[in-house]
Amino acid sequence: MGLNFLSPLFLYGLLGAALPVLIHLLTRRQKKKIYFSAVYLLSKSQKRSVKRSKPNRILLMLLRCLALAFFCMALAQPIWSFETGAIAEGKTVFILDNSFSMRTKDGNGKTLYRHAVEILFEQIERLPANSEYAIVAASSPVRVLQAMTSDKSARKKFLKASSSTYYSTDMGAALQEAFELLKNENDKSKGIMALTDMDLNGWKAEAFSETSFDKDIPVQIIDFSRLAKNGNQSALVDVSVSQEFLTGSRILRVKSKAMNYSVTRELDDLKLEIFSGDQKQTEGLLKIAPRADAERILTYPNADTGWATGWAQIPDDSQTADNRRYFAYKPDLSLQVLVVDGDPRTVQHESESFYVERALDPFASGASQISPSISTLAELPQKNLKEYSAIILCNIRELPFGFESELKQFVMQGGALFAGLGDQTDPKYFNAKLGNLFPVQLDRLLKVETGTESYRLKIDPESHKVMQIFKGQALREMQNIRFNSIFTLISRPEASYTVPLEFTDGKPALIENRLGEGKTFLFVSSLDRDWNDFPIQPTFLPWLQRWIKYSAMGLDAMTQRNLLAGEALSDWNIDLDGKDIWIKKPNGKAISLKTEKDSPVFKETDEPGNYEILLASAAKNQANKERLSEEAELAGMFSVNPDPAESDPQKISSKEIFSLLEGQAAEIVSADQLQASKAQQGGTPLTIPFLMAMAGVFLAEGFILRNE
Amino acid sequence: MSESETFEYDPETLAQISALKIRAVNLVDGLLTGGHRSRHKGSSVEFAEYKEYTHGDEIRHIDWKVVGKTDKYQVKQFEQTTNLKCSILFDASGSMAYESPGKPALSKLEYAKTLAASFSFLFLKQFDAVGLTIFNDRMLHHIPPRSKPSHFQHILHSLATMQTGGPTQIEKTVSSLAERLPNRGMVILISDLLTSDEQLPKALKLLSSRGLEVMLLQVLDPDELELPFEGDIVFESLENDPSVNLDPRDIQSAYQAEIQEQIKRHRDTCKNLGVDYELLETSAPPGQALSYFLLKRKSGAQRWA
Repeated sequence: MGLNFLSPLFLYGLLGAALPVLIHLLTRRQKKKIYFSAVYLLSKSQKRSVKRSKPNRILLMLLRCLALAFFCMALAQPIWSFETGAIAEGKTVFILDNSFSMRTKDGNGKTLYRHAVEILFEQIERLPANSEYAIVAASSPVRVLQAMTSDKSARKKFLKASSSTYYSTDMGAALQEAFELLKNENDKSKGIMALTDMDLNGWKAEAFSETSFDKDIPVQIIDFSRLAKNGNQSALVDVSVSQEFLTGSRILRVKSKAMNYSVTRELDDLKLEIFSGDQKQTEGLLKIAPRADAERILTYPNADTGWATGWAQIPDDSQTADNRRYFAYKPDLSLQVLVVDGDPRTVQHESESFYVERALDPFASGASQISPSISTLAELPQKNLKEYSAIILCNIRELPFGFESELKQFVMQGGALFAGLGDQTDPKYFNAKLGNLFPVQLDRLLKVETGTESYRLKIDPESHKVMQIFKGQALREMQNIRFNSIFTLISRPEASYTVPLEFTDGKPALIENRLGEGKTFLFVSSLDRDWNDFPIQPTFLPWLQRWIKYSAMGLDAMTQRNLLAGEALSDWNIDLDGKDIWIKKPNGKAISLKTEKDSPVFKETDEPGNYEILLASAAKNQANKERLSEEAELAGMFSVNPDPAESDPQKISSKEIFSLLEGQAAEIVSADQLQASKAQQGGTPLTIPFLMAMAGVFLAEGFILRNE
Repeated sequence: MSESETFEYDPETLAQISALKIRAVNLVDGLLTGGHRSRHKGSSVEFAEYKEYTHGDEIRHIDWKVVGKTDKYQVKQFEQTTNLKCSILFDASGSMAYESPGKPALSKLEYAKTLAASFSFLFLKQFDAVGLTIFNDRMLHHIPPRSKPSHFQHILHSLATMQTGGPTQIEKTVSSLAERLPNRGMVILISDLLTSDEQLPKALKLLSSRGLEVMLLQVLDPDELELPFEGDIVFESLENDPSVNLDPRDIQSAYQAEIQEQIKRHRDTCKNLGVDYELLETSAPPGQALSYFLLKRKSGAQRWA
């Protein structure tokens, strides 16, 4: 119980209360002394006089001092607290939401995180003397910023200098961590105070379902969401870069996806700009309906052959961190294609892969920007699929055990799988094992009897963009290709796929299926001369090349490694043997990774931007492991952007929180309320009473003056 | 010869005496000179009336011309003049030493001294006897009335060498003095009458009862009437009152009322006892007091004639 001041600096004004005393003393010093004859008359008059001057003057002086003191104390915002603090003596864990949604700004441009840190300091200051506290950072991955301590200034400097991360929130894990910290404490009084903006993204139900909380520990949640000027209006949620069919075209296509988070307002003419090499390359406008997203592809010519890096951006709103997304893209990649031969022969041209290999790289010169490599089924498990952007299965009987799931993983990540059938094909195996990859089952093998008409392709150049180039002579040639054996197909239940190429009788010749980031294709005939004469036609070469290039569109997803802030990079796709890995962050700081381990992991993806992967020769650089060698070579780049899920300004309702913390003593306090009346927790503001007291004193002073 | 009679040798006293003498002589000379009549008839130059000779009358007063003409023995009677014995009671209490700060005019004490000297000179000039009694709470110095002109020097010396101090006790002085004072003489009391004791009526009564003609001259500085001071002031008493710290403005009106009330009381007392009372402010010229006195004497003479 006691009187506290929220702005104690004003208490220095109390020195001003000495002013009347000073004036009084100064005038006293000028007192005259007179030897007078009728002093007895003076005393008599003084007694007779109603006004007693001297005491009045001292009283006036005291009143003025008092008025000044009251005024200064009123300015210092006094509060009368009945308790020593909001939190009883004991142990408290503060959960500080430092996710990137806390970067949202208030009307004055101050981030919610700053507000949260200030309130955290205040709460720590309010802790009774022997209390201990800990701080848990709630951004994923959750970490303990400060273990239990009683030192009130333990992390002050750090927190003052810190800013919110670009990570997303994980309140469930943070609460779990907080309860863990309090678990072994025997104190009677334990409590958790979470300072958060209540972003819905941070309160995933699954994070709470696995946890078990101590029901005796009360949880207080300080809600900062109301401090934000506006909710987050819009965000760029995805940016990807591509080149037309990877053909070496100098035009880069930047596909940006923006989200309008407003529930009511449509975003008209949202300006989208693409920056690369620190220059604006192009811009366009987006129109987004409320709570919807919209995509826009903008193109710009890229003169460099190296990495194209840059960012897309939309105008700033209260949350600026998500209005810019970075990209890093390596144009002009040559496609690495793995051709799996299901029926290899010693005579080269009898092999299944013979025509395919020649079609993909006719002069073995890489001019087609496709470099095929041949593998047998037996060799397949040794291959690193990540080195390839497309895999062509030619007439295979069975994949190595469990390889289907590996292939599926490959396709999901953006790889292309192209399968041709043949005499080795086992429909039973196909239908039983490859359902994950192909949406169809093989029905029967149709063989054309001698003398009857072969199956022919129905070519419609407009049916698919791969087919667009087949016109005139080429078209006629394709229509004349004779197919002697084909498989008929049955759709698997609930499968969806397209048929870009058919036979004249309407039977599908090629089916295209989207799977994750990648695609699978099934050609119902063989890719060698066994079942048709297509491989020896001049059109086979462009046809196959275009399909492979087209299918490898998903490659972008593999080459453009677009990490979310906080996501670790462990998947290098580079030969690291004998090399030191250095990662150069967007701020220019280079970090060396330990390569002794099997797979180095880079975890410091803590800020958005483009990161460079640099390799230096380990042998050469033996002497100096601390500094990045100048000879280090750029081996790759990746961009890091915040998780768009965290951009969503949707807040969790108190009802939902109470249901998540079922049975827990929980309380939700709005931060603006907390700031407006800091005395709320155990204190009565006394500013107005003090001002009134001052007014009263002035009234009394006026009354005395008037009577004089 | 006492110490006080060796005044001739003290230059400072001499200077004071001469200054006082000059002031007094100038004052008196500037005013009308004239005798004051006595109520007692006796030998004099001025004829009053005839009366038949009876046994016991002095033969030298028989008017022989009348005897020759009428054969009756007639005795000439003359009005008796002079031989007035006047005692000046001079208040030498501490309060008489008040000097108005910053005002170069005659101080209260100097003013009173001038009055005393002037009266002495006036009386002596008219061959009356004059004495001086200086007192505060007791009699400090007493000079019995004499009429020889050299007596003036004694009075002047006493006035010049007197020291002020102590409280005022008029009654005590008067009662101790009353026996020594001649009957049917005159008493001039010069004082500021600033005393908290209400002793004046008793003293005046005592004097009146002895058939003395009493004249009361209250000498006050204008400061004592108006209290014109400003600021926070500590008033130290010239007598033995405790000092007072106050802002005179706060009590000015109360003080003025108080002193005027006191003056009125004195005036009333004097009127009841038939005592001549005059309030003299030191700002007024001392001549005014003398002329007032002479005027009073004149009218008194007429009244008594």
